[in-house]
Amino acid sequence: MSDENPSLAEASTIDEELVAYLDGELNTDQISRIERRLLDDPQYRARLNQLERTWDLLDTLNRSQADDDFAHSTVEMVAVQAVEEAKTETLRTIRRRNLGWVAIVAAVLALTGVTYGVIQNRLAQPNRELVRNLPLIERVDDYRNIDSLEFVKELEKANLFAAEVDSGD
Amino acid sequence: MLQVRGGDAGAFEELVLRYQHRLLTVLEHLVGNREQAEDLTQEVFLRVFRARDRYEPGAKFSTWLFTIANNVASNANRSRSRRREVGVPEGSNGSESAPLQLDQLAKAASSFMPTRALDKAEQAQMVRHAVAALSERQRLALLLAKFEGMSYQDIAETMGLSVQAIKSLLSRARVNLKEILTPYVEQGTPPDENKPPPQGGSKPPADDE
Repeated sequence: MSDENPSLAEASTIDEELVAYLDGELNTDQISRIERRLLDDPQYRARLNQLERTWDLLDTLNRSQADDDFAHSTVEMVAVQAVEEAKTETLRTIRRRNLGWVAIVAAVLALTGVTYGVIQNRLAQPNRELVRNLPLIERVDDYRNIDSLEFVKELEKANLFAAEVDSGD
Repeated sequence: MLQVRGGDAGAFEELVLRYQHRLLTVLEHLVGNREQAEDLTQEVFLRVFRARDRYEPGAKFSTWLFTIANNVASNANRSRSRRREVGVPEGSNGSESAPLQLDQLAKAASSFMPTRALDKAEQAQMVRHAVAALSERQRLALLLAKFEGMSYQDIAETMGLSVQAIKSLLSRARVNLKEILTPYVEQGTPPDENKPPPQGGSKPPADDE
């Protein structure tokens, strides 16, 4: 501060340390350094005094006093809000529960449907087997007269009855 | 607060009784309007009640309370700015504290006391207007330091800033106040209307970040 025109950055640093000094935010070393400078530098001291006087002026600002019934009306307002919120929460819970029931019913219906489909499928299985084996069933009497499967295969290889097979007989 | 968390209505009322004046003081100087400050104070307590389950027992209650107050006041200021942007007129209440300029400060003080007697009421009026001329963040940091006696660390937590940022913010705030009030402090007169205001003219003082 002895310097006639400290730069803006310097001035800002000086103000920061003086304000922190006034606010009791410095450590012992920093306090000692500032107090030494305060003794030696009248401009530095003047700046501190200005900042301190301005700070003290803030004491003239009034401290608000709430009215006597302010706390009561605040608690009442909060209670009303809390009741409203509790109602909303209850409705939300009911809605959630209803949605849960809907989901359960839907799941049961889906499961029933799937089970029905599976059972139907199982029941239809023997019929499908019968249909698949129908050509065999239709000729089961003819096949009973065959003693050996090897013999039939030999006949097929020999191609003796190709004309009958081609004509579908 | 732990009892409030447990659903004790009596404890909540006790909490309101204990903090209402402090909260109202900070909010009134922050928004510059008693009626709005009362609404905001109630809003803060409502939020405290709603958030009671989220309160961590280790946390300092006043820091938590003023963090909520800071959010509520910021939201209110944003809404007010939006209303101003869309052209809704502000109330003509003289206590509204849009940042005032030095010429307004001088006029306010002159008209308040025709004889220029330097009494406490005038002094308080000058200081109130000077505080209102600070930026919102400078004002809040200053009020928390002055009225709540909060440490830089607590103010930083309340405002969601670093300790270094708070140090700069408070320094700026105090220097701005000094610039505005020095003519008054040294000569006992309101600042000269013809003298250019600090911080480069009619702009509100800038924050330090």
